[in-house]
Amino acid sequence: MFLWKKERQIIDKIESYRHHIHECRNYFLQAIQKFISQETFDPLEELIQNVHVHESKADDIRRDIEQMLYNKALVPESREDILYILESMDALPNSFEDLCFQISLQRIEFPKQLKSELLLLVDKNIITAEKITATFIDFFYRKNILPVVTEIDNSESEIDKIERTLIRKIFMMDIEKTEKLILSGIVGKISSISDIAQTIGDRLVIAVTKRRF
Amino acid sequence: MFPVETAGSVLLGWAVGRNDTAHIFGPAVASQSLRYFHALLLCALFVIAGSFLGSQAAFHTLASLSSQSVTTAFAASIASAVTIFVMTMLRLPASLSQIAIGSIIGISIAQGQVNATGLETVFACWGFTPIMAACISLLIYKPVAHLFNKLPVTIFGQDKIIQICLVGTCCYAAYALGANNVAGVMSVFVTSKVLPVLAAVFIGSMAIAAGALMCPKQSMFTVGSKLIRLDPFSAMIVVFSAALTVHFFAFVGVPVSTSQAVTGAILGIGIMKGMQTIRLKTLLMMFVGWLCTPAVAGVLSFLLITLFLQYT
Repeated sequence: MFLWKKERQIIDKIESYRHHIHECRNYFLQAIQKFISQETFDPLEELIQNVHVHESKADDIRRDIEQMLYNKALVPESREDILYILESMDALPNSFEDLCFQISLQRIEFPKQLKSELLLLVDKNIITAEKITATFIDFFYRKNILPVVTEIDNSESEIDKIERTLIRKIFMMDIEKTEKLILSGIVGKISSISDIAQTIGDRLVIAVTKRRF
Repeated sequence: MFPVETAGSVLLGWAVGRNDTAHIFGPAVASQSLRYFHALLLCALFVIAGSFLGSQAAFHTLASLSSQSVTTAFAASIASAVTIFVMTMLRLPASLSQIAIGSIIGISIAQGQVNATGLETVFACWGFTPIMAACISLLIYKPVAHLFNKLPVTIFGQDKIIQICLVGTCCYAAYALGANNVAGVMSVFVTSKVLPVLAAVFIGSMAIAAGALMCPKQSMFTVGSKLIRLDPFSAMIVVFSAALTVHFFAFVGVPVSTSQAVTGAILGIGIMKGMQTIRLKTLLMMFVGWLCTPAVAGVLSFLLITLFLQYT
């Protein structure tokens, strides 16, 4: 694929942005699996710190990309679309970091009977996040992203069902009401990862549609 | 030296440059593919090139419409200048090439030397201008879009290519503007033997280029944004279709309106995309402009020359 020098610089930054989101996601996955498996909180600090480091680096790179988009020549309409997509992408590492901090600071303990469903929920959301990150890169290379966006849409509906089942179970459990609210809040927050992916997917589709002449 | 009789035509040329630069380079400036000052310079440069390299046929056609004397040439140029003023006051879309030809026709009628065949050709070309531009944009949109969609480049590369092509088509449109309009502006002075062709081309092209260099930034953005609202790719197709149409008529030798060609090309894109790009009011105003512009110029030049002949 032919690339101009300035274009190469932006693409390199975008690849690096993807890398940090990917790393952030990996550390988040390890941390949350350990949280759910009820391991002690203290050894997880390093993983949470890594999530934070990669989230922060992704943030810096996103700002660099935004600066580059303003400084380098690009049709304003495209620039607007890309900035929108970047802003939506930013919600992904933010939500990984947020979840880690919430669970760790509030020292939330997950009931054993919910373990398998919670892990399934995390797994599905992480897959969706990974798919949208890859699609985000494919968008810049003008590859066909529509099938993956449709897959993400379908996964989101599936995740919604798992979320509802989990919340129903939480509120049927014999635990404190506040604990129920906290747990259902965390379940909602995990499920919101796929909502973010869906929003990014929708924006990508709009941008692609606008660019197909 | 600069003959003072040409003042009216120089003003007309200046107005052509000032008005049409916004139509031609507006999309490139509005899409930030080109800086405003670069757009003005490129427009002036290509107008001059087009005037010198592509205006011979138009001089020939306009010379065949009527014979001119120094007096009639002067009257035609003054009538043109007054018509611009009247049409601007009436807020009607005036084609400056139609003004120039309208005043020549008025003189011809006053002298009783109308070349009916020549006139038929001119009117047919004016009517055909937006239709041809619409047909071109309609025909080339899909194949060019297919080519652009298949290019092995990133979205940044695709934008870059569109920007380069947009600037290229704008330069071509400026060339076509020069080739098509310089004769309309200056031909009366060649027919009346006030100036040799080369001098007429020089003065006319300088007048149009000066107008281009003085095109206001605001009007460039206003006109450009209207076109770019389609999208930069469609704007490129519109400018190219209009340029090709205007250039074709430069070969035929009939000065036509660039803005009417642009309107036609936008209409073609609208038909292609199945959306309403032009309001009925715009088409109606264009039609009124078609009728009024040459008529006002013709009547004015007719009155001027009749008065002049009576009192001398």
